[in-house]
Amino acid sequence: MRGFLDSLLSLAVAIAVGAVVAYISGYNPLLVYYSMFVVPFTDVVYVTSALATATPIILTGLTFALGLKAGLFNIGAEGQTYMGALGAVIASYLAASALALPLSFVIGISLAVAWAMVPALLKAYRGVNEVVSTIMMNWIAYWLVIMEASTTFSNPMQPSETIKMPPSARLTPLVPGTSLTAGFFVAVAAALLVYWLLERSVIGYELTAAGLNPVAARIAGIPQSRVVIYSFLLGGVTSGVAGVLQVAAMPPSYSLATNLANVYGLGLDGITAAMLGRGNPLGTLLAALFLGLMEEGARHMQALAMTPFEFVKVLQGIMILVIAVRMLELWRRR
Amino acid sequence: MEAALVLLTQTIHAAVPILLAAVGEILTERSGVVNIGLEGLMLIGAFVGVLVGDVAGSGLIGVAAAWAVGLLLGLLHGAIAVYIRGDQLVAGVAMNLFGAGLVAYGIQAVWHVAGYRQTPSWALVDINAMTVLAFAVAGAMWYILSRTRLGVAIRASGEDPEAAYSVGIDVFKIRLFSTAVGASLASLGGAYLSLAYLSVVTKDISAGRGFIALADVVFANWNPLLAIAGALVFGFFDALSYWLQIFGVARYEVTRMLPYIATLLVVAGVIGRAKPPRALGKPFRKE
Amino acid sequence: MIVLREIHKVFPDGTYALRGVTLELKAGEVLGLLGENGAGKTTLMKILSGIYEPTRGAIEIDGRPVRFRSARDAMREGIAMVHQHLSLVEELTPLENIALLEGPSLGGLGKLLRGKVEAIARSLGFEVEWDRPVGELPLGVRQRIEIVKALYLGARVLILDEPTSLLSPPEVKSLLDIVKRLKAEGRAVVFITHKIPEVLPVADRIAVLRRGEKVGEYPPSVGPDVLVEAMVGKLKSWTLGREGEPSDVVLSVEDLWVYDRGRPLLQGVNLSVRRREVHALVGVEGNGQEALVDALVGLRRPARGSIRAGGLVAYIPDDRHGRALVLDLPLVHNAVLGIHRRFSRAGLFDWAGARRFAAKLIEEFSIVAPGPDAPARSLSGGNQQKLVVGRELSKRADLLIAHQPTRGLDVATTEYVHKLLVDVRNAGAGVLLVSSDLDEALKLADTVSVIYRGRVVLNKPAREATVEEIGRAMAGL
Ligand SMILES: Nc1ncnc2c1ncn2[C@@H]1O[C@H](COP(=O)(O)OP(=O)(O)O)[C@@H](O)[C@H]1O
Ligand SMILES: [Mg+2]
Repeated sequence: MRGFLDSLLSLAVAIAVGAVVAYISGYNPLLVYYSMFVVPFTDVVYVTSALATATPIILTGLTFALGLKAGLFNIGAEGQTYMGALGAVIASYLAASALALPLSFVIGISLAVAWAMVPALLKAYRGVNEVVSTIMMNWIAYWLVIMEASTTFSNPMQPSETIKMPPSARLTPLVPGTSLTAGFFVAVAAALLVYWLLERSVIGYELTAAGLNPVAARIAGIPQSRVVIYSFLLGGVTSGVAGVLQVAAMPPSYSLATNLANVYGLGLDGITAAMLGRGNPLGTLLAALFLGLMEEGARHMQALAMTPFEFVKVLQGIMILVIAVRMLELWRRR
Repeated sequence: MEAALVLLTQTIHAAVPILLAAVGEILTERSGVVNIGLEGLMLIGAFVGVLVGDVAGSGLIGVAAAWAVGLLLGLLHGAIAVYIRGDQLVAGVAMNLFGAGLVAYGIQAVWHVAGYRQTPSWALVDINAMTVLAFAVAGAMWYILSRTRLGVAIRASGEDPEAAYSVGIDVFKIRLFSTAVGASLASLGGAYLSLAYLSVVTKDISAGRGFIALADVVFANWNPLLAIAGALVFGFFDALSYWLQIFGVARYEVTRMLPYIATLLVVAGVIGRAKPPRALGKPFRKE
Repeated sequence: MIVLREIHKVFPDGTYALRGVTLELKAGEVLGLLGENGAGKTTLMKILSGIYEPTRGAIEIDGRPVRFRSARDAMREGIAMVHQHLSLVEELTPLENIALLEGPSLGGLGKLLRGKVEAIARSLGFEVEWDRPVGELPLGVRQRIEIVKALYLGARVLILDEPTSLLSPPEVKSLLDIVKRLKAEGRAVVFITHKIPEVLPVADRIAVLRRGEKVGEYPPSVGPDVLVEAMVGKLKSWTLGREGEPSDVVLSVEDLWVYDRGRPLLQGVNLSVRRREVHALVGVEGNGQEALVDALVGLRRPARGSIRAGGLVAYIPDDRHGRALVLDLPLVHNAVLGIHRRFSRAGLFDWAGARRFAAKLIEEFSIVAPGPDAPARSLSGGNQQKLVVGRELSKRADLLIAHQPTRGLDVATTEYVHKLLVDVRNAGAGVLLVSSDLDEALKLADTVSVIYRGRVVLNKPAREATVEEIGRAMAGL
């Protein structure tokens, strides 16, 4: 509850500061916020689009939240998402039937988990700081996937895309004319599952204890290596799923853009969501839905208020900055 | 021979932004504060440098502005870390998100182009002058930290703030000051990128250099002189990647991976020997 | 003359540490300040040295009221304190530590400083390696550096907080000589301790604190008995009935070597613990006890040697916050920490079972807590320790490692924990008691070992060992 109030407060501050930024840059703040927060609710197509936007953010948010629980700063969702998407593309290349869908998940998740395991093992056995290693893995993934997407798996018909998911393997819109697919429910289910796992399983207990006091945990027979590996493993799975869905459940293209446009920045959005949601999987879910709404709104803002889409990222940065300050606590301390 | 010389020059030039950010972070961390927002600070520095340099018609003013903005943002991070005792890692991540958002937004809002702006010729600064400056800063930082009473106070604040405070060192001020100056150097590194080295500002111009600088800090075991060596290693792979590309030895994408792979390997090899300041990242409170 | 008048101190967490203490201090005298752990000695002196501000009450110097807002203010009046946990920065050299006193500036460390510092050390009759990191110097030397620091600042009043707790007996003797020299120079010294025999030879006057109140002031001539009763009041102690004799070995350590960044912490330790035995490992703090315990519980990898523990190991660490509890989690979570796998039902947590278990611990060890869902942080120190002790004992382990298990506890809880340790022994387990409190060790032990500079230098049945003998072994003689 307190976390929720903190997040609301951070939103208020971000909106206030953002208004100044928008005004200085010559945009009308009222129109900016109207198009960002009101317009998305005016049409069911917009609402479903917001949910579709939120889908991968929920999943990458879970990656970061799982890290936070265990006291780790896992910034690697970005690269793991690329790898998941690459997995879906590889599956489309291998199978031209409905089989490509399950195969996408198998290959995508495997690649993402493999990508997550490098920093996890480096942390567990060499003590390498995970912030640095995950970022390096992100950049390596970035160039690797760009290379693969524009060579082996490129689409001869459309040079800016990879080959497409076979039609029978696609997750198509549940309501025709919208972009909402079953992928959204996969993401929500993942959040519920992660929440349940953390609360009810022994591994969840161990991650929580180790995240709060690693030394006491080690003495209690919970080695840091196990904690790091499980946390990164589960995180790799959710990010991998995010990447797969960005290809398999992404109308109309059902492919990966060769400049990675449909996966770029999702890992960072996930960090924002997890922080706004205070590292709690359900909080992360809520926050991701909110971010999806903001980004849908930002598209309207671009059209109506002529404001650059990235304005929404400025707002999010400010929100997290305020979260870092923990304003309410500051208040109470006086 | 000539080729080797060119490669060396390029190595040194590629090392500069990493060196500046790493030396700044060494100062910050030696005082006990972690700032993982270097990437965001570099981005903002690159952007502000071009923006102000363009308007003022002088690259030097652009550099100064970038440095000053970095100092202000460092004060903000320092205030959060030191006085408010907020979460330093979260604040650092926020700085990265904010920087990425602000610069992408700013490039659009100011120049009405998507994510890419050539630095106008009147805003460029001499790359060699900035290179010399960066190495001088590293040397000066080493001297200050190891040989002066200020340095002793900074190190004491990062190792054992309670002890430092008990003999009258204002740990809060020392940390705030160190964090601000440290951040300003990262921002300066960003200005170097856009005003001297790459002559362009893009929304991802820093390309992970802020994090490579974090790796360099560990590699250097928090010693500014060793940070020079580390920055040169990373700079070498950066320079090498362009060479391999020019000579068509490997695909463009493969060569671009090289600095990151090198960083990963170096960090994996070196850690364990490195010893961070004892109170690193731990907020200090009186009593 | 300095007067502390009617000093009260209430900490932000509500602890009422001092309840109207009045104390005088004259130049050229040594005041012994005696009291049990937690009596308020340190708090009182931190108020005099400007670290804490009193909640109520006044400080007067030569009849003039003063108010200290920081240690700096007190130093300006010539008052300096050498803390129990020394306030030297271990990574800096002694010289750099003293340079810190001059405040930050771009100036160098200076030759003048060095000359002055060396002169002070010489006047007190000792030598220091000025250019090695303090962390590499023995604790006794560090304490002297602290004294030099105080005198460098021109201290006329020197407060030594439990100065002997870090020292071996011969080092204690030379410290007492230093105290006498300081007194002869006309300085006032406050000597804080909870060990009576230490104050008797140096103090001119002894003030006793109990539970935040001054019980009285005595001349040293009153003798120990009066002082004991003043300190602790009438004490009801448990009888520690030992049953049975030590039998088969449950822990055997052979030729154990542990290094920390090239520095040897343990140099071939041999040790064994048997069932029905309390084996006390005593030594001055910092002689390798921590490294040994860390190796035993798997926090440190030995470079050489073997550790064989037969069966389940329970562990009561010296630092319960850092090592035994997760303060931000509820009591239930903490009650099962380390035995949590017993509550696994096909990978899922049996929270109902854990809750029942926690309730049983609360009951059995009379832990005062709001309930099983209260955060561990909200428990008082003594109840946190009971929780840890209770949890570890309920493991029914074959070996119990107890490291300073009563540090910081009140007298009643200390007695209770002592009884529990002997109960564990009588029930057939082996107990390794690592303690720097010789009295505690001798009270409980069947066997005593002394550790000095990473080696076990003495090992004997407790009833055959004399205090003098152990003291000398602790000093490496
Ligand atoms: N900073 C603090 N906050 C809260 N309680 C404290 C603090 N310091 C000491 N206390 C409490 O005050 C009482 C007196 O402590 P202290 O002066 O350290 O005793 P002594 O030095 O005689 O052993 C103890 O109950 C202790 O727990
Ligand atoms: Mg004390």
